[in-house]
Amino acid sequence: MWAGGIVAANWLLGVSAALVFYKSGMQKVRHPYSFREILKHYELVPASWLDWLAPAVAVGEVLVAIWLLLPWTRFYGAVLGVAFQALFMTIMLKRMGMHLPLGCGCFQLNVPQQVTWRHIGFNSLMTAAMIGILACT
Amino acid sequence: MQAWLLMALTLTLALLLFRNIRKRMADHALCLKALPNASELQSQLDAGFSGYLFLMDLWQFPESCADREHLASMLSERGHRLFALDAPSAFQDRSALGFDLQVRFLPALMALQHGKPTHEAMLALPGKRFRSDVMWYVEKTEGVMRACGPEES
Repeated sequence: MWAGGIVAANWLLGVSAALVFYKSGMQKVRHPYSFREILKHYELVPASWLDWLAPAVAVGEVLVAIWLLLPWTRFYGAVLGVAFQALFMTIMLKRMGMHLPLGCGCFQLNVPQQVTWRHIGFNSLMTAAMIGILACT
Repeated sequence: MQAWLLMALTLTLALLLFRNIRKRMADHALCLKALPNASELQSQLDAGFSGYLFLMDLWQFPESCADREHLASMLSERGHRLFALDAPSAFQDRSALGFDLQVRFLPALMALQHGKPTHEAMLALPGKRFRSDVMWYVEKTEGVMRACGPEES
């Protein structure tokens, strides 16, 4: 019974997290130039890096989504997912309170946003989901 | 074994997607340079242009040059103009572009989106149905402009 519960939790967390990463990633895949401009406003890396960083993040999120969905690769998807969430949370903490005219690049693009603790909260929830997947694998 | 094979396959697809995205970004950058910008918009206003000026959010509309050129040519046939502007300046620095633009642009979007904030109005036009929806968008805007009547200069 415990084993069944763990398997069910693993699937539920995996599919849920995969959907979040898929939605976020595909938005960036469809509008990579917009996402590149959003990253520019964070002022974290040299502008010359953005032409590589923007597609890398977009593709990375879609990859995490696929790996989380497939039971054989779910563990690795969760590991990569934790790495992404750690990166996002670090960026959000560094830029807490910053007004981003084109948005944070999380889901909606082009909607002006301010980085708040709500972003940290959501990323924490996602990190917890990844850790839950790792625990259930 | 299955895990490694699947990972190798998905990583290969990811690399192809990465290259595709990089190419689309480069094409997009080139395409944007061909569009008229805010200074040309001001020249049109100064010259007494009598059509409607459709502002396009550079980042939100489809990133296909062909779709944007299609919209620009359709608007031109009806006596209007399409201008691509940086998203923040389109909605926050409207006063710099003149009274004429404020009245002609905002009521159209407000009417289309039933009072939603302007930037949300721009977001709501679905990109994948862009070609079929654009005539609806243009005709709707013309209808709203006729209903609003001529503004005072």
